[in-house]
Amino acid sequence: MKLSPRNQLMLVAALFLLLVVVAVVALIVPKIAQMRQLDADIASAERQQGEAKTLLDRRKEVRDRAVQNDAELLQLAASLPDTPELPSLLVELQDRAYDDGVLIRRIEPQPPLMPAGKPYVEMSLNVVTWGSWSDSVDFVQDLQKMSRLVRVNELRSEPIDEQTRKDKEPSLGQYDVQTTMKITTYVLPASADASASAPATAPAQ
Amino acid sequence: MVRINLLPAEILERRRYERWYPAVIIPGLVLLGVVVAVWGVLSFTASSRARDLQTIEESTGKLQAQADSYRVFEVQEASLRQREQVAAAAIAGRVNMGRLAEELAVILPEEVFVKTLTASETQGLLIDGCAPRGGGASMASSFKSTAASLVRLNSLDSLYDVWLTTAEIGDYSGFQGLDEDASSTGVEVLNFTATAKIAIPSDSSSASATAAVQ
Repeated sequence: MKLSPRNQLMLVAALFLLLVVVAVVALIVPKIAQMRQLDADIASAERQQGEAKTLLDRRKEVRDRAVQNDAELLQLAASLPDTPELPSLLVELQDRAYDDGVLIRRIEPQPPLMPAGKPYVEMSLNVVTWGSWSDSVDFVQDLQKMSRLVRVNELRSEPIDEQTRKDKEPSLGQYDVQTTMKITTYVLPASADASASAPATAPAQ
Repeated sequence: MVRINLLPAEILERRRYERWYPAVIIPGLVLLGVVVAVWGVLSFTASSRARDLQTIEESTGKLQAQADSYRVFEVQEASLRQREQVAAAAIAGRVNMGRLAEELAVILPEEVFVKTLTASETQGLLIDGCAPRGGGASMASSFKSTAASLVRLNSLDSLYDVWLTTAEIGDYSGFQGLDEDASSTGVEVLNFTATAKIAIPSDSSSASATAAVQ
Protein backbone atom coordinates (compact mmCIF):
# COMPACT_ATOMS: atom_id res chain seq x y z
CA MET A 1 0.00 0.00 0.00
CA LYS A 2 1.48 3.24 -1.00
CA LEU A 3 0.76 6.19 1.25
CA SER A 4 0.41 9.65 -0.02
CA PRO A 5 3.04 12.18 1.16
CA ARG A 6 0.40 13.84 3.26
CA ASN A 7 -0.50 10.59 4.99
CA GLN A 8 3.18 9.75 5.43
CA LEU A 9 3.66 13.06 7.26
CA MET A 10 0.64 12.40 9.42
CA LEU A 11 1.94 8.89 10.19
CA VAL A 12 5.29 10.27 11.29
CA ALA A 13 3.53 12.82 13.50
CA ALA A 14 1.32 10.11 14.96
CA LEU A 15 4.37 7.92 15.63
CA PHE A 16 6.08 10.73 17.50
CA LEU A 17 2.95 11.40 19.46
CA LEU A 18 2.67 7.73 20.32
CA LEU A 19 6.31 7.65 21.33
CA VAL A 20 5.78 10.59 23.67
CA VAL A 21 2.70 9.00 25.18
CA VAL A 22 4.51 5.69 25.67
CA ALA A 23 7.48 7.49 27.24
CA VAL A 24 5.19 9.38 29.62
CA VAL A 25 3.34 6.20 30.56
CA ALA A 26 6.50 4.11 30.85
CA LEU A 27 8.79 6.62 32.54
CA ILE A 28 6.96 9.53 34.14
CA VAL A 29 3.89 7.87 35.60
CA PRO A 30 5.82 5.15 37.51
CA LYS A 31 8.23 7.78 38.83
CA ILE A 32 5.36 9.91 40.07
CA ALA A 33 3.87 6.85 41.78
CA GLN A 34 7.28 6.05 43.25
CA MET A 35 7.60 9.64 44.48
CA ARG A 36 4.21 9.47 46.13
CA GLN A 37 5.11 6.19 47.80
CA LEU A 38 8.42 7.68 48.96
CA ASP A 39 6.63 10.73 50.35
CA ALA A 40 4.27 8.48 52.26
CA ASP A 41 7.18 6.34 53.50
CA ILE A 42 9.10 9.45 54.58
CA ALA A 43 6.07 10.78 56.42
CA SER A 44 5.63 7.42 58.15
CA ALA A 45 9.35 7.20 58.95
CA GLU A 46 9.34 10.76 60.34
CA ARG A 47 6.37 9.88 62.50
CA GLN A 48 8.18 6.79 63.78
CA GLN A 49 11.30 8.88 64.33
CA GLY A 50 9.24 11.39 66.33
CA GLU A 51 7.76 8.60 68.40
CA ALA A 52 11.19 7.08 68.97
CA LYS A 53 12.54 10.48 69.97
CA THR A 54 9.65 11.05 72.35
CA LEU A 55 10.18 7.60 73.83
CA LEU A 56 13.89 8.25 74.18
CA ASP A 57 13.31 11.65 75.80
CA ARG A 58 10.87 10.10 78.23
CA ARG A 59 13.24 7.28 79.08
CA LYS A 60 16.12 9.75 79.45
CA GLU A 61 14.05 11.62 82.03
CA VAL A 62 13.40 8.32 83.79
CA ARG A 63 17.12 7.51 83.59
CA ASP A 64 17.91 10.87 85.19
CA ARG A 65 15.66 9.88 88.09
CA ALA A 66 17.14 6.38 88.25
CA VAL A 67 19.32 6.99 91.28
CA GLN A 68 16.45 8.48 93.23
CA ASN A 69 14.07 5.76 92.02
CA ASP A 70 16.57 3.09 92.94
CA ALA A 71 16.89 4.46 96.45
CA GLU A 72 13.12 4.71 96.83
CA LEU A 73 12.69 1.22 95.43
CA LEU A 74 15.20 -0.18 97.90
CA GLN A 75 13.40 1.59 100.72
CA LEU A 76 10.01 0.39 99.53
CA ALA A 77 11.36 -3.11 99.03
CA ALA A 78 12.31 -3.04 102.69
CA SER A 79 8.90 -1.61 103.65
CA LEU A 80 6.99 -3.93 101.41
CA PRO A 81 9.13 -6.99 100.72
CA ASP A 82 8.40 -9.75 98.26
CA THR A 83 8.45 -12.39 100.98
CA PRO A 84 7.27 -12.27 104.61
CA GLU A 85 10.88 -11.99 105.84
CA LEU A 86 9.87 -12.89 109.35
CA PRO A 87 13.42 -13.17 110.74
CA SER A 88 14.31 -9.57 109.89
CA LEU A 89 10.96 -8.43 111.28
CA LEU A 90 11.64 -10.23 114.56
CA VAL A 91 15.12 -8.71 114.77
CA GLU A 92 13.77 -5.21 114.19
CA LEU A 93 10.93 -5.70 116.70
CA GLN A 94 13.41 -6.87 119.30
CA ASP A 95 15.70 -3.91 118.60
CA ARG A 96 12.83 -1.43 118.91
CA ALA A 97 11.65 -3.04 122.14
CA TYR A 98 15.16 -2.92 123.56
CA ASP A 99 15.57 0.74 122.56
CA ASP A 100 12.23 1.68 124.10
CA GLY A 101 12.79 -0.31 127.29
CA VAL A 102 9.91 -2.75 126.95
CA LEU A 103 10.05 -6.48 127.20
CA ILE A 104 8.50 -8.54 124.43
CA ARG A 105 6.84 -11.49 126.15
CA ARG A 106 5.21 -13.12 123.17
CA ILE A 107 5.06 -12.88 119.39
CA GLU A 108 2.54 -14.96 117.51
CA PRO A 109 2.69 -14.55 113.73
CA GLN A 110 -0.33 -15.58 111.73
CA PRO A 111 0.00 -17.26 108.33
CA PRO A 112 0.08 -14.72 105.48
CA LEU A 113 -3.12 -14.30 103.57
CA MET A 114 -4.28 -12.17 100.70
CA PRO A 115 -7.53 -10.32 101.48
CA ALA A 116 -10.10 -10.45 98.69
CA GLY A 117 -9.83 -7.48 96.38
CA LYS A 118 -6.67 -6.15 97.99
CA PRO A 119 -3.38 -5.74 96.14
CA TYR A 120 -1.24 -6.99 99.03
CA VAL A 121 -0.66 -9.97 101.27
CA GLU A 122 -1.23 -9.41 104.96
CA MET A 123 0.77 -10.98 107.74
CA SER A 124 -0.57 -10.35 111.23
CA LEU A 125 1.31 -10.77 114.48
CA ASN A 126 0.03 -10.75 118.00
CA VAL A 127 2.64 -9.10 120.19
CA VAL A 128 2.62 -8.92 123.98
CA THR A 129 4.97 -6.55 125.79
CA TRP A 130 5.62 -5.67 129.41
CA GLY A 131 6.89 -2.30 130.43
CA SER A 132 5.96 1.11 131.72
CA TRP A 133 3.10 2.94 130.11
CA SER A 134 5.31 5.60 128.57
CA ASP A 135 7.77 3.03 127.23
CA SER A 136 4.92 0.99 125.82
CA VAL A 137 3.50 4.06 124.07
CA ASP A 138 6.94 4.80 122.65
CA PHE A 139 7.15 1.25 121.38
CA VAL A 140 3.74 1.48 119.70
CA GLN A 141 4.73 4.75 118.08
CA ASP A 142 8.04 3.34 116.94
CA LEU A 143 6.29 0.42 115.28
CA GLN A 144 5.10 2.81 112.59
CA LYS A 145 8.63 4.07 112.12
CA MET A 146 9.99 0.63 111.34
CA SER A 147 11.51 -0.09 107.96
CA ARG A 148 8.58 -2.47 107.36
CA LEU A 149 5.11 -1.08 106.77
CA VAL A 150 3.32 -1.80 110.03
CA ARG A 151 -0.24 -1.16 111.00
CA VAL A 152 -1.35 -1.48 114.61
CA ASN A 153 -4.88 -2.82 114.31
CA GLU A 154 -5.62 -3.39 117.95
CA LEU A 155 -4.06 -2.32 121.21
CA ARG A 156 -4.88 -3.38 124.76
CA SER A 157 -3.04 -2.16 127.78
CA GLU A 158 -3.78 -3.53 131.22
CA PRO A 159 -2.12 -4.12 134.58
CA ILE A 160 0.11 -7.14 134.95
CA ASP A 161 -1.11 -9.65 137.44
CA GLU A 162 0.91 -8.97 140.55
CA GLN A 163 1.86 -12.56 141.28
CA THR A 164 2.81 -13.22 137.66
CA ARG A 165 4.95 -10.10 137.62
CA LYS A 166 6.72 -11.05 140.80
CA ASP A 167 7.30 -14.61 139.61
CA LYS A 168 8.45 -13.87 136.10
CA GLU A 169 9.79 -10.33 135.99
CA PRO A 170 10.44 -9.09 139.52
CA SER A 171 12.40 -6.18 138.11
CA LEU A 172 9.22 -4.61 136.74
CA GLY A 173 7.51 -1.91 138.73
CA GLN A 174 4.05 -1.90 140.22
CA TYR A 175 2.64 0.37 137.56
CA ASP A 176 4.08 -1.42 134.58
CA VAL A 177 1.53 -2.67 132.10
CA GLN A 178 1.03 -5.52 129.73
CA THR A 179 0.32 -4.31 126.20
CA THR A 180 -1.21 -6.68 123.72
CA MET A 181 -1.13 -5.61 120.10
CA LYS A 182 -2.34 -7.03 116.87
CA ILE A 183 -0.10 -5.62 114.18
CA THR A 184 -0.13 -6.21 110.45
CA THR A 185 2.75 -6.11 108.00
CA TYR A 186 2.45 -6.38 104.26
CA VAL A 187 4.03 -8.36 101.47
CA LEU A 188 3.97 -7.63 97.75
CA PRO A 189 1.61 -10.12 96.12
CA ALA A 190 3.94 -10.76 93.16
CA SER A 191 5.52 -13.35 95.42
CA ALA A 192 2.30 -14.22 97.16
CA ASP A 193 3.28 -17.82 96.63
CA ALA A 194 5.39 -17.23 99.74
CA SER A 195 2.10 -17.45 101.59
CA ALA A 196 1.54 -20.86 100.05
CA SER A 197 4.91 -22.01 101.29
CA ALA A 198 4.28 -20.61 104.76
CA PRO A 199 3.50 -23.20 107.39
CA ALA A 200 -0.17 -23.86 108.01
CA THR A 201 0.32 -23.24 111.69
CA ALA A 202 2.40 -20.56 113.27
CA PRO A 203 5.97 -21.74 113.73
CA ALA A 204 7.43 -21.99 117.21
CA GLN A 205 9.17 -18.81 118.26
CA MET B 1 11.56 35.21 -18.34
CA VAL B 2 9.02 32.52 -17.91
CA ARG B 3 9.72 29.61 -15.55
CA ILE B 4 8.26 26.39 -16.67
CA ASN B 5 7.96 23.57 -14.09
CA LEU B 6 8.10 20.34 -15.92
CA LEU B 7 8.08 18.11 -12.78
CA PRO B 8 5.14 15.80 -12.39
CA ALA B 9 2.42 16.88 -9.97
CA GLU B 10 3.01 14.00 -7.55
CA ILE B 11 6.65 14.98 -7.10
CA LEU B 12 5.62 18.50 -6.52
CA GLU B 13 3.15 17.37 -3.86
CA ARG B 14 5.82 15.16 -2.16
CA ARG B 15 8.26 18.04 -2.08
CA ARG B 16 5.63 20.30 -0.62
CA TYR B 17 4.99 17.88 2.32
CA GLU B 18 8.68 17.10 2.74
CA ARG B 19 9.14 20.67 3.86
CA TRP B 20 6.86 19.94 6.83
CA TYR B 21 8.91 17.00 8.16
CA PRO B 22 11.27 19.16 10.25
CA ALA B 23 8.24 20.90 11.71
CA VAL B 24 6.97 17.53 12.89
CA ILE B 25 10.21 15.76 13.80
CA ILE B 26 11.93 18.60 15.70
CA PRO B 27 9.00 19.31 18.08
CA GLY B 28 8.56 15.56 18.47
CA LEU B 29 12.19 15.13 19.46
CA VAL B 30 11.99 18.16 21.75
CA LEU B 31 8.90 16.69 23.37
CA LEU B 32 10.66 13.37 23.84
CA GLY B 33 13.65 15.20 25.26
CA VAL B 34 11.43 17.03 27.71
CA VAL B 35 9.86 13.74 28.77
CA VAL B 36 13.28 12.18 29.30
CA ALA B 37 14.47 15.29 31.18
CA VAL B 38 11.43 15.19 33.45
CA TRP B 39 12.08 11.49 34.03
CA GLY B 40 15.69 12.30 34.89
CA VAL B 41 14.68 15.01 37.36
CA LEU B 42 12.09 12.74 38.92
CA SER B 43 14.63 9.93 39.16
CA PHE B 44 17.13 12.23 40.85
CA THR B 45 14.51 13.51 43.25
CA ALA B 46 13.30 9.99 43.99
CA SER B 47 16.84 8.85 44.61
CA SER B 48 17.38 11.80 46.93
CA ARG B 49 14.19 11.04 48.81
CA ALA B 50 15.11 7.38 49.06
CA ARG B 51 18.39 8.44 50.66
CA ASP B 52 16.45 10.74 53.00
CA LEU B 53 14.17 7.85 53.89
CA GLN B 54 17.13 5.61 54.58
CA THR B 55 18.73 8.30 56.74
CA ILE B 56 15.51 8.75 58.71
CA GLU B 57 15.11 4.99 59.15
CA GLU B 58 18.70 4.63 60.32
CA SER B 59 18.23 7.53 62.73
CA THR B 60 14.99 5.99 63.98
CA GLY B 61 16.76 2.68 64.45
CA LYS B 62 19.50 4.34 66.50
CA LEU B 63 16.98 6.27 68.59
CA GLN B 64 14.95 3.10 69.14
CA ALA B 65 18.06 1.14 70.10
CA GLN B 66 19.06 3.86 72.56
CA ALA B 67 15.53 3.98 73.94
CA ASP B 68 15.56 0.19 74.31
CA SER B 69 18.78 0.40 76.26
CA TYR B 70 17.04 2.74 78.72
CA ARG B 71 14.01 0.50 79.07
CA VAL B 72 15.39 -1.01 82.24
CA PHE B 73 14.97 2.35 83.99
CA GLU B 74 11.35 2.51 82.92
CA VAL B 75 10.75 -1.00 84.21
CA GLN B 76 12.41 0.02 87.48
CA GLU B 77 10.15 3.07 87.78
CA ALA B 78 7.06 1.01 86.97
CA SER B 79 8.04 -1.39 89.73
CA LEU B 80 8.47 1.54 92.10
CA ARG B 81 5.07 2.97 91.21
CA GLN B 82 3.46 -0.43 91.68
CA ARG B 83 5.00 -0.80 95.12
CA GLU B 84 3.95 2.75 96.00
CA GLN B 85 0.38 1.99 95.02
CA VAL B 86 0.34 -1.24 97.00
CA ALA B 87 1.92 0.51 100.00
CA ALA B 88 -0.59 3.35 99.80
CA ALA B 89 -3.44 0.83 99.64
CA ALA B 90 -1.97 -1.10 102.58
CA ILE B 91 -1.82 1.86 104.92
CA ALA B 92 -4.97 3.59 103.71
CA GLY B 93 -6.90 4.69 106.77
CA ARG B 94 -4.17 3.58 109.17
CA VAL B 95 -4.75 4.84 112.70
CA ASN B 96 -1.68 5.99 114.58
CA MET B 97 -2.35 4.02 117.74
CA GLY B 98 0.84 5.20 119.39
CA ARG B 99 -0.09 8.84 118.99
CA LEU B 100 -3.63 8.12 120.19
CA ALA B 101 -2.30 6.40 123.31
CA GLU B 102 0.06 9.27 123.96
CA GLU B 103 -2.69 11.84 123.50
CA LEU B 104 -4.88 9.93 125.95
CA ALA B 105 -2.09 9.91 128.51
CA VAL B 106 -1.65 13.65 128.07
CA ILE B 107 -5.25 14.79 128.16
CA LEU B 108 -6.76 12.59 130.88
CA PRO B 109 -6.95 14.31 134.26
CA GLU B 110 -4.03 13.64 136.54
CA GLU B 111 -6.13 11.98 139.20
CA VAL B 112 -7.63 9.47 136.76
CA PHE B 113 -5.96 6.09 136.55
CA VAL B 114 -6.60 4.00 133.46
CA LYS B 115 -6.74 0.32 134.33
CA THR B 116 -7.42 -1.03 130.90
CA LEU B 117 -7.18 0.70 127.57
CA THR B 118 -8.44 -1.06 124.48
CA ALA B 119 -8.19 0.53 121.05
CA SER B 120 -9.18 -1.11 117.82
CA GLU B 121 -9.50 0.26 114.30
CA THR B 122 -12.84 -1.47 113.97
CA GLN B 123 -14.19 -1.63 117.54
CA GLY B 124 -13.09 1.81 118.67
CA LEU B 125 -11.79 2.84 122.06
CA LEU B 126 -12.70 1.46 125.45
CA ILE B 127 -11.27 2.92 128.63
CA ASP B 128 -11.71 1.27 131.98
CA GLY B 129 -10.53 3.89 134.45
CA CYS B 130 -10.64 4.86 138.07
CA ALA B 131 -10.89 8.16 139.86
CA PRO B 132 -10.40 8.74 143.57
CA ARG B 133 -13.59 9.08 145.48
CA GLY B 134 -14.15 12.46 146.94
CA GLY B 135 -16.84 14.96 147.44
CA GLY B 136 -17.63 18.57 147.71
CA ALA B 137 -16.63 21.11 145.16
CA SER B 138 -13.37 19.50 144.14
CA MET B 139 -13.19 18.82 140.42
CA ALA B 140 -10.43 16.29 140.95
CA SER B 141 -12.52 13.43 142.23
CA SER B 142 -15.32 11.04 141.48
CA PHE B 143 -17.88 11.92 138.85
CA LYS B 144 -16.38 15.33 138.18
CA SER B 145 -13.16 13.65 137.17
CA THR B 146 -15.15 11.30 135.00
CA ALA B 147 -16.94 14.22 133.39
CA ALA B 148 -13.65 15.99 132.80
CA SER B 149 -12.30 12.83 131.23
CA LEU B 150 -15.24 12.65 128.83
CA VAL B 151 -14.87 16.30 127.85
CA ARG B 152 -11.20 15.87 127.18
CA LEU B 153 -11.70 12.66 125.22
CA ASN B 154 -14.24 14.47 123.09
CA SER B 155 -11.74 17.22 122.39
CA LEU B 156 -9.46 14.83 120.53
CA ASP B 157 -9.77 14.97 116.74
CA SER B 158 -9.06 11.27 116.53
CA LEU B 159 -12.10 10.35 118.65
CA TYR B 160 -15.82 10.89 118.27
CA ASP B 161 -19.04 9.56 119.77
CA VAL B 162 -17.50 9.56 123.26
CA TRP B 163 -19.84 7.85 125.71
CA LEU B 164 -19.83 6.85 129.36
CA THR B 165 -20.96 3.26 129.77
CA THR B 166 -20.81 2.91 133.55
CA ALA B 167 -19.52 4.84 136.54
CA GLU B 168 -19.79 3.17 139.90
CA ILE B 169 -18.32 3.57 143.34
CA GLY B 170 -16.89 0.41 144.77
CA ASP B 171 -14.36 -1.08 147.07
CA TYR B 172 -11.27 -1.62 145.00
CA SER B 173 -8.83 -2.83 147.53
CA GLY B 174 -6.87 -4.59 144.81
CA PHE B 175 -6.67 -1.41 142.80
CA GLN B 176 -3.27 -1.18 141.14
CA GLY B 177 -3.17 2.57 141.61
CA LEU B 178 -2.74 2.26 145.34
CA ASP B 179 0.70 2.15 146.80
CA GLU B 180 1.65 -1.35 147.82
CA ASP B 181 2.48 -0.29 151.33
CA ALA B 182 -0.70 1.71 151.79
CA SER B 183 -3.58 0.18 153.64
CA SER B 184 -6.09 -0.72 150.98
CA THR B 185 -8.83 -1.96 153.21
CA GLY B 186 -12.04 -0.15 152.62
CA VAL B 187 -10.63 2.14 149.96
CA GLU B 188 -13.29 3.31 147.61
CA VAL B 189 -12.73 4.61 144.11
CA LEU B 190 -14.97 5.50 141.24
CA ASN B 191 -14.64 2.98 138.47
CA PHE B 192 -15.86 4.14 135.09
CA THR B 193 -15.96 2.77 131.59
CA ALA B 194 -16.01 5.06 128.57
CA THR B 195 -16.19 4.23 124.90
CA ALA B 196 -15.45 6.22 121.75
CA LYS B 197 -15.15 5.64 118.06
CA ILE B 198 -11.80 6.20 116.40
CA ALA B 199 -11.76 8.51 113.40
CA ILE B 200 -10.19 6.80 110.43
CA PRO B 201 -7.75 9.22 108.80
CA SER B 202 -8.23 10.11 105.17
CA ASP B 203 -6.01 8.44 102.60
CA SER B 204 -4.08 11.64 102.02
CA SER B 205 -3.10 11.94 105.65
CA SER B 206 -2.10 8.28 105.70
CA ALA B 207 -0.03 8.79 102.60
CA SER B 208 1.69 11.78 104.11
CA ALA B 209 2.31 9.74 107.24
CA THR B 210 3.96 7.08 105.09
CA ALA B 211 6.07 9.68 103.39
CA ALA B 212 7.09 11.01 106.76
CA VAL B 213 8.04 7.54 107.93
CA GLN B 214 10.04 6.92 104.80
